[in-house]
Amino acid sequence: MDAAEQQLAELAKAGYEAGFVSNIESETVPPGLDESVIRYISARKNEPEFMLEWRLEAYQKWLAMEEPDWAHLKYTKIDYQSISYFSAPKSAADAPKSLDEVDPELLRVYEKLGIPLEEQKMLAGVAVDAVFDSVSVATTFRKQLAEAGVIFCSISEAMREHPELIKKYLGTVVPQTDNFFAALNAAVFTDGTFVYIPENTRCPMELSTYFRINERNTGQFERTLIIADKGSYVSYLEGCTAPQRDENQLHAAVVELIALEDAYIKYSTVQNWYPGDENGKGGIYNFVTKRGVCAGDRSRISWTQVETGSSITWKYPSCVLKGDDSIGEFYSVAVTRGAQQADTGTKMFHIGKNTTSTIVSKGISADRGQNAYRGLVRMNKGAENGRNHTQCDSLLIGDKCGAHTFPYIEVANPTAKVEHEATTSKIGEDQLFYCRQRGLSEEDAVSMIVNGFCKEVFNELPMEFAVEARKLLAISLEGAVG
Amino acid sequence: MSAALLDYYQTLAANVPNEHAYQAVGKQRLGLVELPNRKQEAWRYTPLAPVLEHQFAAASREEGLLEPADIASLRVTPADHVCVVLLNGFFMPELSTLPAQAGLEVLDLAQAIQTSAVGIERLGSLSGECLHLFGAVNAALTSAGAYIRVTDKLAQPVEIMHINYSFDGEVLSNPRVLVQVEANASLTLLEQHAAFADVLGMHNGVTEIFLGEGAALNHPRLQNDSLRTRHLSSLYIQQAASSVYKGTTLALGSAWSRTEFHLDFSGGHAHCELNGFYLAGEQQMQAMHLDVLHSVPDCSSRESFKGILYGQGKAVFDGNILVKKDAQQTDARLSNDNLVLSREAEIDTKPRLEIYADDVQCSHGTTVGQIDPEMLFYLRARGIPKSAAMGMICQGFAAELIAHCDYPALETKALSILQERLMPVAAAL
Repeated sequence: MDAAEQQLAELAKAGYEAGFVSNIESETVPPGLDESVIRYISARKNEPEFMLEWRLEAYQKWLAMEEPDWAHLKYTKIDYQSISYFSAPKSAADAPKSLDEVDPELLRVYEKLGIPLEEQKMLAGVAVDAVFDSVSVATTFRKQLAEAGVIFCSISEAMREHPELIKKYLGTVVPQTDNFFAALNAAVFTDGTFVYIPENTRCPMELSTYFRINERNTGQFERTLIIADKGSYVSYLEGCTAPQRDENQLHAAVVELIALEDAYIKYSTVQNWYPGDENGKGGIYNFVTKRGVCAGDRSRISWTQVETGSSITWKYPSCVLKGDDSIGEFYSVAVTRGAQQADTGTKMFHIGKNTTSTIVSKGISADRGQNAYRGLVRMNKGAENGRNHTQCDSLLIGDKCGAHTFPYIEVANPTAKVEHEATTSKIGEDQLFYCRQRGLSEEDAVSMIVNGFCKEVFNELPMEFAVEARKLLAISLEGAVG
Repeated sequence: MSAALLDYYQTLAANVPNEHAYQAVGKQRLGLVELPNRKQEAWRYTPLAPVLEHQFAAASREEGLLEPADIASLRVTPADHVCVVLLNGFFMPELSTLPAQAGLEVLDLAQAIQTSAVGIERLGSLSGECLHLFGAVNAALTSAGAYIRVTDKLAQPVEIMHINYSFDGEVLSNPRVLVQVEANASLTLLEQHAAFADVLGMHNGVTEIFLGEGAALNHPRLQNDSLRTRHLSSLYIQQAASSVYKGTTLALGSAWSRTEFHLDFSGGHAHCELNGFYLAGEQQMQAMHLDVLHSVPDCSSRESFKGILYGQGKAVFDGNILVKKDAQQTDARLSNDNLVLSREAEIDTKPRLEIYADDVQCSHGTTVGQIDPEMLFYLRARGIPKSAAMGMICQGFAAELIAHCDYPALETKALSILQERLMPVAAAL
């Protein structure tokens, strides 16, 4: 809560009166949450009336909810009244003036990842006058997308320009009351991404938040809604491999995916938020609700995630397989080191006939990291011939870390076939020895073994992402063995 | 219902004198425990109405209800072997066969407490925390049960038979069994839970087992209570260095049944093997709950559970292996396979691994499926009728596990019960 406290102190110093700062350069509402904050957010975003009502409803429900404590996580309680729920992008005055002012550790990582200098500046939040050439890149992209009929914009923009789609789909997959964090998000989300792929359209390029530059700092409460209409295809990339600094400690995002008949949504995430110092101090709390519904027959949703950052990760990208013959997939690599803790996994709800789901989860724990896989596979009564295969493997590096698996399997249909396999072991001494004997350094050997361990998941990532993810993994585990 | 039930058990407990310290702990816990509910991880999938919506009367000792001949028909060991009979939890010397045998001491638990038998202080030390309401009820309500201590390698098996049968109708039996296999001693303990009539009571048993260094215990258990009974067995096992425990539980009977295993290692190089088979048909509910704790290095465990479900049967498997920080070189394997034969059956399974040590090998596997059509085709192509083929496949699936009992008479009995139960099911499929 340091950042928030600091912010509070600063605000107090400024001799600031009750009410909201409406100064365009540095608009921040004072910490605390009540209806007026929600009204302010909604008004600032020029939202239609129905959105405000929806937010207020969520807020009322949130008030009655309790923070869940079932996850295998330990963290200091979050004080929801000490958080500022609306802050516009950092003003240029606060930002580092040049790369010299940026944490050298961060720069070293950028270097290793091979990120160009200009991009490094952007990622580190260095004030740059013009956002180099991605402006033009983005413009070209937008033109191309518009030609295909794809809507790709911020969710605030969508609320103003496509209220009918928002009204029809928002909150249908993750309802306001789904869980504590989703309710909070519904009440106060400030921005996010909206994607609509029209019927029988193959999105001409991989969509990425990275290029959606119109609103860069989407803040801590992000909301994403992706709708793939009949027969369409989209691949969406979220996050980026470079470590990102963020002054907000709590992140509670919601992602909703809707795949209609024959549609295919591929959602890939690389999450590398600040994990905090050695003791996890200052790291990001990442409480994310992600769910997709395969609403139409033969639809398919595929989640791929590489989780290396954050001090706390609480995340279960799920699939509701409603349509007959629909497919749900979940591929995950989660790395915890230092004092990082992750409780992540998936839920697969089989409702339609002949539905198939695949779960591949690879957990790597090093130092004092705690990594838990928590998954649910539910075969409903009507899920004729439902199939699930789950594979979750854990790799332990060091004697102070932990790896846990909590699979829940519920089968109410005799024609369903469910398989679950899990293994936990450490890096094989013999494997390590074999590599070392052939002249590889210990670090390279570990990186090679770990990459092999994760290969199944990386294969699911789009090409350039996969290359970056591999490098990222190597950096994340640097010095873990030895 | 809830508060009333707690009050009810508390009142019952208040009238029972404390014979041993564990009972005081039970009474104290009875004042503190929360009723089991589905929000508690350990009870998540277990339906609770059958045991929480009933106020069972506490069982009392009933003499003359059964004859030794009745017992003979249930036994799986030869007539001259030791056989301990517990009727509604109470030790019945006139029904038991208790020949003197070197290295073996078998006593009524109440008597063992009174005479301060060797090791009686261990009573309640494993189940001490009384994890839930029924654990507390067991400790608080009676000191009925049996005490078994083995100091030598015994060639003859010992049979222990729990019978729930009462004139009073719906009674709650609370037997407690203390088994101590001292250093380098070994024993085969055959445990049967048998029904004498279609009774509607509840069995709430607690068994504490201590294995000394290098001790070995083979512990096959056949639960064949009446299809209207509620059955809860909690087993607490502690293994010293280099000991071997092999437990095979066959849960076939009861309307509502839950078997809990709480196993802990106190010394290195010990091995445990927990096997279980459950048959959940008609409106039966079978739950298996495992808590295997690897707290010391160099131990290994194998947990293998299988189940067949039909009718409106429901089964719950909740297996947890916890490997603590210092338990390096742990080797633990857990598997759970389920065969579902009907549309209305439901299986909820939850194999968990919690690991805090790095130099370990742990795995778990789970499958849920129906009869493989290829297997069926193979048999039918050889002229075997469909229902017989189905029966064969089910028998084969179960037999692999039942064979772990290592006592042919018990295996045969279990298989014949299974066949009897499954035959009409296979015929109707």
